[in-house]
Amino acid sequence: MGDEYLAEPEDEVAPSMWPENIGDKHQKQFKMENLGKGQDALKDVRFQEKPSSVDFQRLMEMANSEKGVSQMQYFVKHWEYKRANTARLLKEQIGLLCQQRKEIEQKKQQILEEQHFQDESYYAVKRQVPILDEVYKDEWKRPSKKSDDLCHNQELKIDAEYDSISYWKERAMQLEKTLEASLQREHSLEEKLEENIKNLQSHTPVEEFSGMLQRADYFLHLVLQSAPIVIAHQDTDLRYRFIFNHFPTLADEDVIGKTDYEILSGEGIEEMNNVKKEVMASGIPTKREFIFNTPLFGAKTFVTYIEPVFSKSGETIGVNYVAMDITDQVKRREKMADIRVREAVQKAKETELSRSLHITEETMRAKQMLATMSHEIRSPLSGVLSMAEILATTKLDKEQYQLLEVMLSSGDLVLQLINDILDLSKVESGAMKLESTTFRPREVVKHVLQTAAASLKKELTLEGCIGDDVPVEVTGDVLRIRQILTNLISNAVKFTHEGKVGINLHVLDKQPPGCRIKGVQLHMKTHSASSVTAAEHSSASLRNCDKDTLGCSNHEDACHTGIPPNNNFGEHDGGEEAVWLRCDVYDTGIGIPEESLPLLFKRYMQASADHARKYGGTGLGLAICKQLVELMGGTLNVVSKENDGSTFSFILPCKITVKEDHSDDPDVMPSSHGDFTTSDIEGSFLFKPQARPCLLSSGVSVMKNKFIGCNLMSYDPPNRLENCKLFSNGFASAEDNSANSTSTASCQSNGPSTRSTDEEQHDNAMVIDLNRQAEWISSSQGGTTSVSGPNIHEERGPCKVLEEKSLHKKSKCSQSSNKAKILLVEDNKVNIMVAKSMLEQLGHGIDIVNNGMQAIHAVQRCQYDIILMDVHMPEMDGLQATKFIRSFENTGCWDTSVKPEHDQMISGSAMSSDCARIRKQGKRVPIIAMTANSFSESAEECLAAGMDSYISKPVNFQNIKECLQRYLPSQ
Amino acid sequence: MAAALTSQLHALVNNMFATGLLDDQFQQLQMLQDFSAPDFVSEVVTLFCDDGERIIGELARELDKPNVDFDRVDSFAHQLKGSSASVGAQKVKNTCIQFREFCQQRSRDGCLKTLDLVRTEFYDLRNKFQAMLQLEQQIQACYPKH
Repeated sequence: MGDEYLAEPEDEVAPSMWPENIGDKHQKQFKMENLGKGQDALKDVRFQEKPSSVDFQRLMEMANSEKGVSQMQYFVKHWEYKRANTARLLKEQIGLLCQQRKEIEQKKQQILEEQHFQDESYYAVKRQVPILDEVYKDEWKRPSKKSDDLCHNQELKIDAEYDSISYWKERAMQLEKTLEASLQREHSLEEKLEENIKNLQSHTPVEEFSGMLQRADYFLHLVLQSAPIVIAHQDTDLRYRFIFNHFPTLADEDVIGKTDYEILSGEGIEEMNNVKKEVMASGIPTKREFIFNTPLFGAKTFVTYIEPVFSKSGETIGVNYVAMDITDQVKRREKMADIRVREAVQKAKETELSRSLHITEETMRAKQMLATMSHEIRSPLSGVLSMAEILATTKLDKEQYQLLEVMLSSGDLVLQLINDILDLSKVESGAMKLESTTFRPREVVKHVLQTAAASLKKELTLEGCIGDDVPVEVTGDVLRIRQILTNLISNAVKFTHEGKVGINLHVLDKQPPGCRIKGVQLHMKTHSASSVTAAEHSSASLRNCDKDTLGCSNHEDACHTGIPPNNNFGEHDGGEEAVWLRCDVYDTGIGIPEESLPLLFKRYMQASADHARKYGGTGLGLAICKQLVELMGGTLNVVSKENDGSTFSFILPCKITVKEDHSDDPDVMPSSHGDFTTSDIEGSFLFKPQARPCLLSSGVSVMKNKFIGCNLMSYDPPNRLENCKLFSNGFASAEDNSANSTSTASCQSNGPSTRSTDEEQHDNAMVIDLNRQAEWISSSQGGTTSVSGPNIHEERGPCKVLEEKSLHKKSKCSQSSNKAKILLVEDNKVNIMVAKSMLEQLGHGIDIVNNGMQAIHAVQRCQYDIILMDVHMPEMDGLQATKFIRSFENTGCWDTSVKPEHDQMISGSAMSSDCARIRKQGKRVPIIAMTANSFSESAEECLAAGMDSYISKPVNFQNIKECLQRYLPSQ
Repeated sequence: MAAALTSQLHALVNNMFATGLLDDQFQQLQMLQDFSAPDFVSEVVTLFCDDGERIIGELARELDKPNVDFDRVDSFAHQLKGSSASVGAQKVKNTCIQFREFCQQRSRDGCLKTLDLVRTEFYDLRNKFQAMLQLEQQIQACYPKH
């Protein structure tokens, strides 16, 4: 098929692959000899088989194109070269033949000459040798100068006698034969030559050319057979005129004469056609990838080389294109690219991650460092402070006392700061655990205000207003709530120079019952109404008071020690209902500029550097408040106007413990109260300006001996009782939680039962006028004005006693006056030794057992004041043992698996029955876990098992001392 | 003589604190030592050393068995951890924590590796303790002469 060359751009190389005999040695005149531009080279080419994929008419046109002509010229040149070659070869052959002939003639002549010579010299008579005549005649003309070696040789072979007739005869015959053979050879050569020439003549140039093309086509097909390419030519209308497609999806008939659009549809066709048109228009070949998605062959990618075809006159008459399916390659390429991108992303991520990890680590380390340092500083600082407090109780002159006061307040400040830092890092590290206790919101508000009023150095009015719908008791982490309130109030006081500061507490729209309080992980303790005794309540609230009055120095430990006994952890009362309490702390202070609001809750941020200079502080307080509120599942917001005051509001979910029947009397809505002096509405407090500094600040012991509590009361007799209770609580429960008869009695006045009657009077409408020192001194002198003297003394008595005791304990706790019997349950010898030594130093008697089982036996035998229990022990662990002991305390009989042995029963029957009796009265031995803080021992588990608290191992003197102080009953 | 020994002792103990061999808990022990229990630290330390040596032996034996009982190994590690925590042997304690993690993972290789570490640290500590006790004895021996 002669058309293939059109689509073969690398034709210059191709011929070399073709067999050399394509152009044959034919030197007769040939049409193409004269072929030049303008002649149709293919005019005579015959196409024996018509390939359906070609429009031959078009081929003719194509041949007319410049390329076609040059192609033809190339063919001609090639052919000419071949012909010249053949001519040369033929000439050479003829030359050879001529030489042969010459030789033969020479020989012939020689023979003749010889003969002639012989005739002349030896025979007188000239004898005709007819046989040689002919030859001779011809040969004779030729010059023969030399004799032939061959002849001489032959001469020797003649047997006959030399110079005899027979000799000559024979010789003549021999020569004749040679001549004949030679002639014959010549003849045959000539024949052969002629034959050859005849053969050659049978091929016309056209046939020759067709054959050549056919062979080329054959080779092309051979090469292209397995090539996944499409070769095509399209005319100016982009109709197919030729196509080669190794894997045709369409018959060629369907393609020729049609456009792409007519054959295919779908994605990519349009684009390809545009490019083809572009190529035709610009005349510049191009190579591109096209992505097709056609119904015919699906999604495929082709790389296509498109080149324009020009006619002789330079017009574009169509395009050729070669397309190759590179779908797989593209897929692979895309996959590679994808992988590379992913790798890059991965790498970037990794770097980012490692960077942030690094940063996090750094931050954590820094925080840890800060926390550790704070902790390290705190211990000696509390030592300094407590010493100073003790020093304050000694005889000092006025100046010394004042100095000491400064020292204490500065120390308190540092302590506060350190506690803040610790709190913050605790919250941030997630280590902050909320303790939930039942508390009275009214009391909390009142106490916070009281505390603030006590340390107030300005002419400010403090007011508190609690909504009627606020439950009497709710459950929550009162310590934290108090901390938040105290913080906000002290902030408010700090930035308010005149006017008032106040707290509004009310219930937000009640959340639907059963609504889970998100984010709150409280160990909700249940005080089911029946089991809660007034004493318990008081002890709980006592502790709260204690914590508050002791100030911040106890916040840290509150986490560990703030768990009152007689609480069952892990039980949930399904009937509990949650309320959202909203608390607003407002002031009429300097306010906060709007631009500073966003920074307000950031750590170490204050509204401005100016403020920081002027008012001091660390800028940690609000950050802690926010984090604490959020930890409890609430939110903290601020509304403020510069020079007009600020209002900090937080909402908190709290669980209602004791249901209350509230008659929502609209007349006594808290908002309606405006007249402070007649604030007899429930839950409204007012503290008028006073100037006694540090009245109830953390330095409790400083004013221990000053009768402040009682003096205060004298102004407002009805409040005296309650107030005194407050203070006595503060002192008594600082060291001692035992149900002290006096304090319990006074506390119970706070219980719900007595409350109602108190309310009817004026109990909750408290006006504490804290006046200048002079005033209260004078009033203390005239304390009998409105209140009967004995009453005061009655209250003072127990206060003083307790104070002394606590002081006493604080200074040195190793007095054996309250020597307790302690059971140490521990399996590790080293631990035993250390703990024993500590306990002995504290002056307690201890029994030591090595596992839970032994502990149970020990408890069966004897009564202990406290049990220190290792958690992880062989045979029976501390949790198990605690469960058994608690179950015995509740039921009065031991579980069968740990029943005391018979003989012990008998021998100790009296005692055990005694023990049981005591326990049934509510005696519950405190069990303190000693946890190793490892994965297998969690504090929650300990508490769930019925333990009262835990100290972490390794036990240190401080921990064990504090723990014993809390849980050992005083005697 | 006694003063030199005392300063040597102080240097040794300070070094032990500085290198993290010991932590605050050891100070607790020192605090507990008074006239009523003059040899308290020595007793505890000796007990710790003996106990520790025993436990390390047990651990090695347990880990040498074809079927390691990791619970048993863990309980030994726990004991050592408790002891070391009580005397303030910080490094040993921390390694014990690591050791217990490997126990949880049931990684014998990890355990063995950590055991080597524990052993090294423990014997290092024990040597120092022994040096410390020796110094203390020498110091005590000095005093009657004065």
